[in-house]
Amino acid sequence: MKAPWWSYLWKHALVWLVVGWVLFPVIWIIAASFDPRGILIGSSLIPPQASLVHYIELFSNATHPFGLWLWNSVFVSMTTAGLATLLCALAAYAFSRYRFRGRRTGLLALLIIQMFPQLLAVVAIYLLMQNISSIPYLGSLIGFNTHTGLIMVYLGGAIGFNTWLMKGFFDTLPRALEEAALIDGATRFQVFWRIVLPLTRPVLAVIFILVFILTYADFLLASVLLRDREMFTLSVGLQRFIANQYGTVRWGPFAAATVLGSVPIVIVFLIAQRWIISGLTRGSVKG
Amino acid sequence: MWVWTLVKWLLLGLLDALGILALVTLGFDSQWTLLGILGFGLILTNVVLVLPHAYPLRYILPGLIFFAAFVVYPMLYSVYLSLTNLSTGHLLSKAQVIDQLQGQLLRWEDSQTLTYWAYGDAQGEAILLLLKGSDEGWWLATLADRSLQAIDPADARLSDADGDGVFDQVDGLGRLQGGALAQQMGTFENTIFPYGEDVIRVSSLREFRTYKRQFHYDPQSDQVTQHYRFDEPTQRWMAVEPAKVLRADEGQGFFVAEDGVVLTPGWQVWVGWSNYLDTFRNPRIVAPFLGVFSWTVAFALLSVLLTFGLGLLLAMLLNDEGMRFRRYYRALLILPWAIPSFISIMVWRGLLNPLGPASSLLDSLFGISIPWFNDPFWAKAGIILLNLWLGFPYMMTITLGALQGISGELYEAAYVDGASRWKQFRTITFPLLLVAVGPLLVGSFAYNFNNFNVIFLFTGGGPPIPGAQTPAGSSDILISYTYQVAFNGGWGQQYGFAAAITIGIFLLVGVISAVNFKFTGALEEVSQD
Repeated sequence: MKAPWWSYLWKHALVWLVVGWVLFPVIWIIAASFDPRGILIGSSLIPPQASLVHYIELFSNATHPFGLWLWNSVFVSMTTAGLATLLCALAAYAFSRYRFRGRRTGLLALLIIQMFPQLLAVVAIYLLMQNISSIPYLGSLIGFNTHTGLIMVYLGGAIGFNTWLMKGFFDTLPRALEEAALIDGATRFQVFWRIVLPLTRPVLAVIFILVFILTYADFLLASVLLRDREMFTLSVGLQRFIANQYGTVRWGPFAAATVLGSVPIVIVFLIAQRWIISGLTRGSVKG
Repeated sequence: MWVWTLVKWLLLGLLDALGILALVTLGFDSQWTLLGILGFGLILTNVVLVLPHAYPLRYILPGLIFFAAFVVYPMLYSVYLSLTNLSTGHLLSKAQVIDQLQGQLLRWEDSQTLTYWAYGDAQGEAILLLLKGSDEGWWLATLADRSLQAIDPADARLSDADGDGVFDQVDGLGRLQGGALAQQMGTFENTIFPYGEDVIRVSSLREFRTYKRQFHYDPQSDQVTQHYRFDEPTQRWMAVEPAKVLRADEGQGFFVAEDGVVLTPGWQVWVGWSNYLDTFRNPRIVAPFLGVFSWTVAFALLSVLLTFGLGLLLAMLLNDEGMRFRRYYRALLILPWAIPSFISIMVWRGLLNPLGPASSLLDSLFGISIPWFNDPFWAKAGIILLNLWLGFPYMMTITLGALQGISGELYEAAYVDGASRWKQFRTITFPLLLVAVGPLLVGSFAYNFNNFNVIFLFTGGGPPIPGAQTPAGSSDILISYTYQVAFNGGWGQQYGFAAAITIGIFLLVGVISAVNFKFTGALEEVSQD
């Protein structure tokens, strides 16, 4: 019952239509980023005098420090992802391996509370951070308009879902190795640190990537909690740069910043996509 | 091993010391909520680290702290906020408002000056002030309780050892001069002493001056009396005769006069359910709110249906083994999911603007120009199309996964029975698919319900609804509307009302999640082990 080749023609045509739609903005923005004229209108697909001038400007323009914003984004997301992975692994391990009073209640509370998006409480978080800011000394370190404060807020948001996710993975892990190590005289923490963590490295990588991508893509919390230009993450910086000036905005540096800002994420995503999909489809959609 | 135990106890001691220091600082700052949270956290940390059978909690505590502080607490705080009138004009507490009103001082024509000398301890902290009025009256002021008492220059507490006519010591405290004095100016400026009918406050490095209070608060009757007002036509301050009495209205959080005039700023008060009820009964809020609400539901529903529809179609095409290049197609089609969404949204915003290349392409191909950002219908259409672009790769991917899980034997049996392609799809593929991806569709609905980025970064909620009294745009969904209500400076910041809307969304999302729990059986997972 193999169909003849020509019956696939319309299917290919349909797919190509969608592919064209998908690639249209991608190709255009890449072309614009290399076009020294810095305009979107009438740019041809291959700019006549392709140059890196916009990419250089990202790191030299003081009023629009795209390079700095990109670095801020990477720094905040990396730190959040690293700490979240560690904290989730710790909590998930206890929930998976130990039996203690309040465990069931704790798990249930975790499951229910993590369903409510943290960003709904944005007003309360904003006021909380303002409040923390007014504490002498400490306030300027972890309050409003600090990366530390933003990271702490992101950490809170990342804990629930990922602890739940990781607990599921730990549950599937056989305990024989851990029991053997305990008999051999390892302390309980050594068992976790030396045996469980190395065994679950692929899972940890998934959590790290998931949290990294989600944190990197956040706009709302960062835009509310950061005030100064040099503190902005890429999403906030780009938004402020182009807000209300679409007609006159200089597209060159914007295009270069978007290309530079998405390439690493796209690469990581494509490499890790199978894991990401399995992680995201367990529980709920957070993409 | 004992080294580690020692290190552990040392670290705990250090943590406790820092914690207690922070608690004391918070106490001096009157930050009682934060003090409570930090104190609770500190006690919990100690209990968990000291008690042996709390051992598992040591693993949970670090994550729990962040979860509690930045998820649970903000949720509870939102509930509290939604029952208050916290907003621009009601940001302060009543005590702060009274302080601010009483601090509004006027320099009147008959204002006097007083020369002063400050006396302090060894640390240079000012404690006492000695003042000499232009009428040769002497006064001793105590900074701690803001009291002012007449004093006789011959009083034994004053001593002038070198006889230069300036007292060097008062009550054994030395005189502050130069830099030590300048450092205290900030404190002086915030301190007002009552002086007969008037008050005195520092006016320069050497002098105090008498001022008149514009307002006077009487704690007994809980009333503010206004003695002076600024007269706009003459641009002068004038006495109010008789003085105007304003009563504290705890319902509104304002001082209100007989004639209904209120004093700004007001203070934060408990307003009960009125923020919630306003969305049903305040006509200026109801109409835009209903518009926003119905569009939110329509947007989330349409997004799910369209992305799933296109995702399903593409998945069916790519799942066919006779389809060549299907791996390459899949890699290309997944791109919108891989690119950070905020970037794609802003790029599409640029492409579709009236001067952008997508607009000129549409114009040259079909001769049409679409007002994506100025017309309410096209703004919504644009959002739906954009969200389709962003969302179909996810649906395609999960559908592909689910399709591969459907056993081929079912189709063979159907083929033997003579079922048509369409019948196979309707009776085998689609029902089995829905079982597999159903929970993900519900999850996607909940996600899109709060898809702030697509709205805010694409249309910014615009175009504005003409004549609307709240900052609702015609393409705003609830979460972006909340953002405008809370943070859009042009409309004032209405935190209480914004919190009430988020609580409403909380409840809706809760219902959706409950439905999803039924689907996924996540609750059973908890109860099983």
